[in-house]
Amino acid sequence: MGESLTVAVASGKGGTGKTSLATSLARVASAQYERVAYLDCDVEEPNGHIFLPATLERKEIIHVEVPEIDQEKCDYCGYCAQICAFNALAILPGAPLVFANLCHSCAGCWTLCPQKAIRVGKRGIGVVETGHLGHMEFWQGRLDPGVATSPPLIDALQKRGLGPGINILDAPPGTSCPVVRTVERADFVLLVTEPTPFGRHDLELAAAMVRQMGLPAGVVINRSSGDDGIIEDFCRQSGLPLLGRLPWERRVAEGYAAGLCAVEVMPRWRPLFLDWLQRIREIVAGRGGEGSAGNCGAER
Amino acid sequence: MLQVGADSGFAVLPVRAGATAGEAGAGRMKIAVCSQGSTPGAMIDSRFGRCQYLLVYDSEQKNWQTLPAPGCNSGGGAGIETARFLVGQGVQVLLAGHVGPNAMRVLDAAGVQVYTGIEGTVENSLRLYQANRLTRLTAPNAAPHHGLAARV
Amino acid sequence: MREIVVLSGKGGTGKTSFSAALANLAEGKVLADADVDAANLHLVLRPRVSEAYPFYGLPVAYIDRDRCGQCGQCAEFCRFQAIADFSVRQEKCEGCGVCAHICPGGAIERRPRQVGEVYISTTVAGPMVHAALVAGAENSGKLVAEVRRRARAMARAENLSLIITDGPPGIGCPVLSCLPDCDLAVLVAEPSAAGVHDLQRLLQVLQHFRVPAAVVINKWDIAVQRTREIEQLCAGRQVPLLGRIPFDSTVFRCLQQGQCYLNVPAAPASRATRQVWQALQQLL
Repeated sequence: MGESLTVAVASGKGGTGKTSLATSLARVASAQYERVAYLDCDVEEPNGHIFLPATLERKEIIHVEVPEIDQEKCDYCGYCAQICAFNALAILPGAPLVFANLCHSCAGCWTLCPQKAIRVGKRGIGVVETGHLGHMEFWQGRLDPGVATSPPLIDALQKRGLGPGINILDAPPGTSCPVVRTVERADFVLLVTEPTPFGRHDLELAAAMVRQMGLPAGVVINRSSGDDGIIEDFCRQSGLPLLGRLPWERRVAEGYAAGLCAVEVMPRWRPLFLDWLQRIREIVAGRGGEGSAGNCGAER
Repeated sequence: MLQVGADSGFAVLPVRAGATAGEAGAGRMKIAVCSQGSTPGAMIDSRFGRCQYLLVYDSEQKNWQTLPAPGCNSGGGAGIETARFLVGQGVQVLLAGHVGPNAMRVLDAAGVQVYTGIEGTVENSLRLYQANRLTRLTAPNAAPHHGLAARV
Repeated sequence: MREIVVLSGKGGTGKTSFSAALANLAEGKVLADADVDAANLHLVLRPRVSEAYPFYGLPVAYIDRDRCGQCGQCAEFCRFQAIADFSVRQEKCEGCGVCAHICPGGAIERRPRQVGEVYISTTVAGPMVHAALVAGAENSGKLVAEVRRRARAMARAENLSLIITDGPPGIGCPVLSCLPDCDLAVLVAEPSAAGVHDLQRLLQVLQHFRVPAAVVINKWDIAVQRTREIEQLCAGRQVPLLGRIPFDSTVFRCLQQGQCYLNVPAAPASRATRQVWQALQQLL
């Protein structure tokens, strides 16, 4: 088994440049390492493909389990509807109705049906697609419109895409359930923020989330204007290592609009990304078992 | 929970005799009205799944019964929950403002007739129904989630 | 009573800065921050909280240790790996209740879990309703509905005729919760490939729910070609364009100080925003 490092790129807030940074990191890493996989885990709004125009080679429909009622066996007692916490069933005389959209696949109905009249059916919730950009592996999940829960699709995507070498997970914005699911399997969480009160506030929420999950994390400041005190203060107080910063550049914003990630516009930033990756490897390696409390690699 | 389009087509389901007991003029009828308050003088609630009360008029006994609606605090699927409850109460006619696709599927399968166009008080809405001034609803006229945040 | 909801297909388009600017321009209104997953409006408007209410999510399982026979069936049947060592990891529990039905000793029940708070506050720009949700919590759509409900109650009580709501990004459940009975959705669009794509999806959703929409293009001069694309998109869908706000470093500088950029009246972004507000009033 080869060495493996999984880095989740997350940000408490949307629009901090997370995807531009995650795709830059994947590009830079793939020039240096043998196997690099980029996984776009923002399955509700996958945008990574704009910056990594990979040729997609395979597509797989992902299913979740939902009930299917066998009308031969059903005696319309209504017990399944009574116990379903999500109101996904309605049993009328002669007409058992299933609302698959509302089902959470908890298995309650088919486990507990007194008549054993419920089969396990399946329902497609989206696709996992994969391809290559050069020798970089590209993976993305796309949730079907109208599907309420993305975590099963995120799980399926990670099960297929995670492998040896470097894995870059592009997390959804925010700190909600899909983000928790995305970063769960990471060795390290790279938190992207910007030097504004909004950036700081949302970084605080994201930092609380990773701390609660016991994951090592570090911060990168995007659109630095020279005065990043508001974020530096927080890193000092919370013991989160500040891995580095990228200055505000109008050209980068213009490149972003045209579908170019940060290092494509600014090739001279490549060493910064490699340096962060190296720091991350050291932090993760130094963590080896004896709980260094996520404070390792503290800033300067 | 976005449900645009998906699953909004109605399955044609067999409805057994008994479920459709209340065709107009077939004697005793139970007519439910979505209400914000517990008395017939209260204002109607334009939401179905998350309405506060269901007031049920018995055409034979000519009296009202007040039922707290079960879906108003539900996490999801409120329309299904309220529709199921209504069917269980033996209601044949529902007078409502907006009914979403999930609730409509349940009401349809149970043979409950749905009328829309109610306004003012609950009593007033019953009078409109009796005067044939309401519109029969055969397809949903609200999106899922409507009742979660709509003004009543 | 009228309600404007400010939305954006993607995060980071400047939605909250714009909402704060509207809050300063409009008179006689209630403010609502419905971006409950990452509430930010309070960072600019600095509210003084006068009332706080707990917000409960779906009930989650709770195991009564005294009645638990440690048979382990609950953990075996739980599809969400939410039970370990005969206790419930609340953050993983989806509240399906299967464990409670399975437990032979009747040791499990479901109890509501507090996942957030709703606040009623005062600001220099008027009364404000906002909320906070714990990280990883579900059901933010219901919290959005609660924020809007309280904002309406406040508008009625104070006899104010306008509600300005800073909505959540995206097109998910919390956004749908903002739509019923909303009078106008103001979309803050960003001229980028991702921005155009996400705006398109949001416009589709609004059209489906028959919510009137109008568009503001923020930082329009960063990508003139994309701005044209957005304008054509709006024209094709007969969505009115309220105006274009140029990229202006004043906005960022003011944001760093936690200030509204309108405090610099001569700044290009401030002028453009005042024009947008004029156009917006015509639509109300």
